[in-house]
Amino acid sequence: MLRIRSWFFACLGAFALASGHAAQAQDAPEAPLVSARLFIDNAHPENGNRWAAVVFTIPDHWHIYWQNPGDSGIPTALDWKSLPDGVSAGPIHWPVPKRAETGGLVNYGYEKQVLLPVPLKVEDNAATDGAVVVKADWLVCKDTCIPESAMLSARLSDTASKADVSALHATLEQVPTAFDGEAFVVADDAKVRVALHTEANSHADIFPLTDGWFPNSATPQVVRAKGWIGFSMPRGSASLSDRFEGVASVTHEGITEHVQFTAPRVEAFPAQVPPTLFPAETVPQASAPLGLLTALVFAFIGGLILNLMPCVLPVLSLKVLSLSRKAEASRGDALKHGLAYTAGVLASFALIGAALLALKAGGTAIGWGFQLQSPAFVLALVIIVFLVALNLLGLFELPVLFGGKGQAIASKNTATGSFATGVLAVALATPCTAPFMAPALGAALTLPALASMLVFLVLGLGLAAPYLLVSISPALRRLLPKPGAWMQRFKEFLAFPMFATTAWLVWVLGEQTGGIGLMQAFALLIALALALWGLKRNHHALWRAFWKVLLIGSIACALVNPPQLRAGSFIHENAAFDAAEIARLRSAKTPVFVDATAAWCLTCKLNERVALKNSRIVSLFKERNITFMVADWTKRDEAITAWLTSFGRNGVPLYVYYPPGKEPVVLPQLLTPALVEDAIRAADSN
Amino acid sequence: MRRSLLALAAAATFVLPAAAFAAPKIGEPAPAFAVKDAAGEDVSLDALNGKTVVLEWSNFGCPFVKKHYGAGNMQATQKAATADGVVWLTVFSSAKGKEGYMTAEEAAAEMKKQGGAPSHILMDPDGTLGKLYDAKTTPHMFVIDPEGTLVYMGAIDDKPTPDAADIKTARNYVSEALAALKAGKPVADSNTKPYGCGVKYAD
Repeated sequence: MLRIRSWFFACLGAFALASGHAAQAQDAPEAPLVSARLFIDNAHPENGNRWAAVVFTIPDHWHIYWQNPGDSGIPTALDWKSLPDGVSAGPIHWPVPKRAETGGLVNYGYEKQVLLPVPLKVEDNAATDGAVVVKADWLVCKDTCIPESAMLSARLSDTASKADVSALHATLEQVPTAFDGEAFVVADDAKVRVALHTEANSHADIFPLTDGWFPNSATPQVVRAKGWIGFSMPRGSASLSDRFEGVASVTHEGITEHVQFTAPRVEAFPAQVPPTLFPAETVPQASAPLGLLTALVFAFIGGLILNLMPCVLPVLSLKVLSLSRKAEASRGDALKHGLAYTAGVLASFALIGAALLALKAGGTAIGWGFQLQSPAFVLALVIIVFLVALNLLGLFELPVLFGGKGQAIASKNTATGSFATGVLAVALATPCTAPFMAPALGAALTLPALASMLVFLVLGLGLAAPYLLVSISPALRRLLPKPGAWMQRFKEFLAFPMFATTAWLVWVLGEQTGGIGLMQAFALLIALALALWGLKRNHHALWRAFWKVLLIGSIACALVNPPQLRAGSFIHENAAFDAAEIARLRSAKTPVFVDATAAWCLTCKLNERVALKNSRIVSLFKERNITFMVADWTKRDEAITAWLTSFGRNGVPLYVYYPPGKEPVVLPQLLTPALVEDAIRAADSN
Repeated sequence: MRRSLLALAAAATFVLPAAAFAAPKIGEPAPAFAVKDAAGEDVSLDALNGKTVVLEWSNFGCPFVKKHYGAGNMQATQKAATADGVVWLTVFSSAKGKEGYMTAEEAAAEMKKQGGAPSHILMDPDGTLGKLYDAKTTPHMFVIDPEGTLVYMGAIDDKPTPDAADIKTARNYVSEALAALKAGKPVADSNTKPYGCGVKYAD
């Protein structure tokens, strides 16, 4: 290019002379837009090898290109014109590029400043003060493109500045490393799908080295399943070959890694690629995962609302009432209870959070509510809730929990009691997923472990907040009703919501384990009630021993040998969840409504009763030929968990409506018939 | 069996809309168009049935177009082709306000100045023809056989540089495609990666 320019100007000069104009000095070619500089880092040789790097400083809004420039442009090139004897230059180690889009065309390149490192292999006998000369050629574009070049030189013995060395190391972090896992690509006329054996619970991106298999303007759809990530793109115009090379950037637990991979082309993914990675239709990420701050806010609000759920309210109201007696008592005492309760709540959430993270790290596909997927846990909850109900009725006294012997409430409350109440509250809260909790929990499991734990703790804080507030503020306590005889009756009355919870949990157990499990639970409850009655009535030492044995024995027996999950589906209505079936129905332009639920999920049951089984909604579904599909998450199911994850969620309920020919729409956590109807009508007409 | 049916169904949902977009594919009918050229004449692909057609996307502001026009390479290829009865269409798809945008008169005048010899100059400032062919760069070349089938799409030659000195040693893909068609042979290298500046579509 320089040669043509100088030829052109030489011509102009000659013409000027010939036409008799006063000959001025020829215009020198303008300085290039991009300034390029070569340096060599001698201070940190590795096995005699050193890094050379060319620094390109690019004016704002202009860019130069990556080794695959994309839809247009030319890769930046370095041609080593002269190297001392015994020195050889390797290939450019390209840092990961950025995408630039103009007018629908997409390029891969660099802006502002980029270093292109090149390894120099230096033999022992090399002339260490020799000169290194490189010709750099590049295309710099904004709205227009200018090819430029520069001849750069440096001495092998030069010392690079500190700034240059740190810039070099920063750049080397951005250079993809060779991917050492498995990679496969399946490509047909419609789609190109790449599967990589690695994890990315947050962001993932792909840059092609083999150009044209998919349009550079296509946004890759990212999917995940047990230890693998996948990229799905529409097919582009280039012909396919037997392998696809590319660079992937994956962010997992807050750490971003760049890898360069070669994926052999296969007809179908081999067995080690989970079939749930690419369901027949790849579901787009309908909701971007929340940032940490938003997740924390949602978690706190969710925790607050959880206090109102039927699972938690009885326990909470008793606890709050116990404070009313302390209205005139020392603030410190109430505060002690408040803090102990909060500690109990936080500790329980921390435990659940840790368990969830540990299981997730181990690759198990689980989500919030996973505790209830195990009948043993449900049975343990049954025991606890039933015991609390009997205690409220006065069948036995547990000074530690709610009240002293013969006292109304809370005369002998200890900090341990408050702590235990906190733990109980959390155990009971699980089946009630409040709104705001679902997206917060979905986000929590994509964040790094520490941030994830923070979300769980803030959730706990939200749950504990009302009680903590009352325990801190004497003014609030004064607002509480004055204690009296009515409190005893109220306490006994609260036993009945507890019995209702017990009944519901036993029903869940029955659903999970069948008739045998049901009988086991009933037998256990009868044994418990009998033993406690015996202990209350009998003061004879021998009898007491017998009742104690019965009590402890039946609990131990139940927990050591819990009822087993029975096979088959737990929710016996409508179509069963099948990702392939969803795709088939979609291609047949049939609308689909997916209800992700579980037998133990109270909010789900509520929504179903109130909204989804409502006659107006049932007839709306019939009228629009909407297939109602139930994703039953009562026990662990990888396909459903993967489907939930693709919407940024990891718990139930989740309601998704797939209008024919359009993107799926996610409905809120709490449904009303009007809400469902409006959502469906809006989605269909959009 | 079910899986292949599913795959077929899945593919169908994408192929059908793709057919609607008529993205150019080697071995398939080239996307049809009917426009007016810079002189006001009607030019339609259907009317050109029976003739070999070459489409050349261009932009006189682009250094890669300047490389080929500056060295006389594009003009020579045009002349050789049109002498053989090939219909050469040069398309300008730069949007108004972008580099390479010209009025029809300016385009005709500039082409004459450059010594180019296309059969027609097509002005495409709204980018319709460009998007129909998924034209990405200037230059970007397409060759259509007399039956209307697309037989070549991609670069003008195999040396993607802005340096005119590389033309001498480069393989001119368009000349090769035309020669293959003339000899009744299949076109080798029918789908190459085009190089050049991006087509200046509207944002």
